[in-house]
Amino acid sequence: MHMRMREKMEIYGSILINNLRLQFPWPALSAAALLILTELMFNINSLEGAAVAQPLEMLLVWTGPALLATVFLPEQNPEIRDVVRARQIGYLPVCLLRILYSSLTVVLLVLFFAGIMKAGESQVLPYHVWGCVCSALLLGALGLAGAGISGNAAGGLMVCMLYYLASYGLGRRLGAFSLFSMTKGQMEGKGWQLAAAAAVTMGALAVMKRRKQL
Amino acid sequence: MFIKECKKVICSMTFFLYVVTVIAMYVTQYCNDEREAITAPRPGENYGMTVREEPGLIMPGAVESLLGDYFSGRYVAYPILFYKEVRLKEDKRLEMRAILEELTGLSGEQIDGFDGYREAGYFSQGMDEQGNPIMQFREMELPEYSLPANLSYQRFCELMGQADDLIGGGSSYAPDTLVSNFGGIPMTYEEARAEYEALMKPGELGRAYLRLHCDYMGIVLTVMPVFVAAALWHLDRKAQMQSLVYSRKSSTIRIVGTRYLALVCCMAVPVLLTLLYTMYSTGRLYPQTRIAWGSGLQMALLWLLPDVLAVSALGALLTELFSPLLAIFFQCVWWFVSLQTAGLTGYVRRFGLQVRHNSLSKTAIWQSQESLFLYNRLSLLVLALLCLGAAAWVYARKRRGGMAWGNSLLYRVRVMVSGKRERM
Repeated sequence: MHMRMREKMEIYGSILINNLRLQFPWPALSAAALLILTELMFNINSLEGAAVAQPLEMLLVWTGPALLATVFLPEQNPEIRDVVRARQIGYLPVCLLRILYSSLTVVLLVLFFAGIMKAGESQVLPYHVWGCVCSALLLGALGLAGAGISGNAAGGLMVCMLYYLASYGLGRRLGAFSLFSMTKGQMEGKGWQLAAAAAVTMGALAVMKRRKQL
Repeated sequence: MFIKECKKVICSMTFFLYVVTVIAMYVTQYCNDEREAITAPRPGENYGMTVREEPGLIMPGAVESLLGDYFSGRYVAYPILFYKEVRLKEDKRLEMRAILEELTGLSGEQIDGFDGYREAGYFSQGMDEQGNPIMQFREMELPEYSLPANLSYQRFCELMGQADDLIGGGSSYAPDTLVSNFGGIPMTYEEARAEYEALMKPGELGRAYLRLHCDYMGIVLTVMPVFVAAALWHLDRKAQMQSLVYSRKSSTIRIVGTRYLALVCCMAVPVLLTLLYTMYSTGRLYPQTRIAWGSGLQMALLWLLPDVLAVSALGALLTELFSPLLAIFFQCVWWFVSLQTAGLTGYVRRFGLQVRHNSLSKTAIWQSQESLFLYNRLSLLVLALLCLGAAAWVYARKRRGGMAWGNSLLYRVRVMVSGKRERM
């Protein structure tokens, strides 16, 4: 029993390392590019109140789609998909592993950016970090669902853009699900976005499993 | 072949989402904005504000505002349309003080020695009999000063430009925004009447509504087509049909041209339908007025089609050269930057993705920008043609077995990042 557990850990460890080497670099690079772009485009020094939320909600939230909408990207190549299907380890655990480290990267990037803002004497509150992570994960989950179900990463990113534009245009009418709620001074309700992100991710994986895409 | 390509576009999920976005933008933004017909102004009404470049109006207002900002230690700026509150470091504060010395005639000691500054705003003055607070407006309290008699408007603009530079740009003291920020004055009945008559001129009413339509639709059409284009151009590679398509008898120009034409035609359909609906709904708003749509339609097509053409062609080129995700990433960044740096009304630049005029009125501002508008749209058309030509060239090279450097470049970067070689 102990041996089997160790064997499994070794297998997942090797899957993790391979994915970090092969699947992770491009999404991570694009997320890092977004972080740099946010820093270049926005003033992030000496900000207070709602102004703190602007760079976080307007641009940094796209790190979510950059990392999560690309989770299924390697297997969208039919050759790779066939190889994956022939493996003993299921595709679902691999995807879950990718979702896990991608989400963790979102959290780390937001924390890192918040640190830069703090160093620039901006009054970043823990809720700003929490809110940005929740929105980034919701946007990422929508991208993941769109990309997974349509089998096309472009489709996933398009779903994100649609939601982003809806948040832009509909404003408060989206209620707790508005991506820009903190910018409009609403400092509560972001937890619903995290719950929605989890529900969308699970729903998408269930649909894909049912359609034998996983 | 054209019909086949059209079917491929129409049956794709990205096209469905594109149509949803276009319609959603139209319904939530344009239709939400325009429900009532514009009526003639009546004497005694409030006609809103207008701006005039009158030094006697602009100079005192701008100096008072800058002095207030100096005392509060906070300067508001919108460098990319977002609110930014700037606090100056000591060396820059001293430079700002020197500017204020020249503008107010006060010495540095007099400015820094003043401690009676109070912000303007409404303040509570106790309670009335019902227990409601009595609010009263209080002017900003500043030291006594007067503008130096020898200060010319030109020198004033220079000093304001220096102040704007110290703040980091995008403040209300930028010379090109001084008029709009400090030249505001209530519109007179005559001015309001003239604005109304200019709008109701034959052809102008239709143009005004179509202009607003294009302003909203331009926001989505400068980004959404890239998704559809990238997905369609990637389809062969995804379905592993490249070799089959590459070896077809058709010429490259025919394949690329037909595909691009199908893409653009399909994406133009929902745009044209919304345009027709705008014409219909505007006609219903003004049943007594005969609206001439000719020049307005010309303008609308010249506004929106270059957006679709350029974004699709650039998306196709980058997808053909590198990958669809890179094309999407590049276009989204370009869209975001250009949208955030664009002003809301009368924003036309010689080169650039966005043209904005979010108003039914301000016809004179638009008319003064028409040559720039033409230049801008033509430059986008040229960009579309160049990108399409380049995409066809890359495609032709690939058919002959060349141009693998695009993919190999990405591969090399990947190897560099991951430190591991994989079989291609």
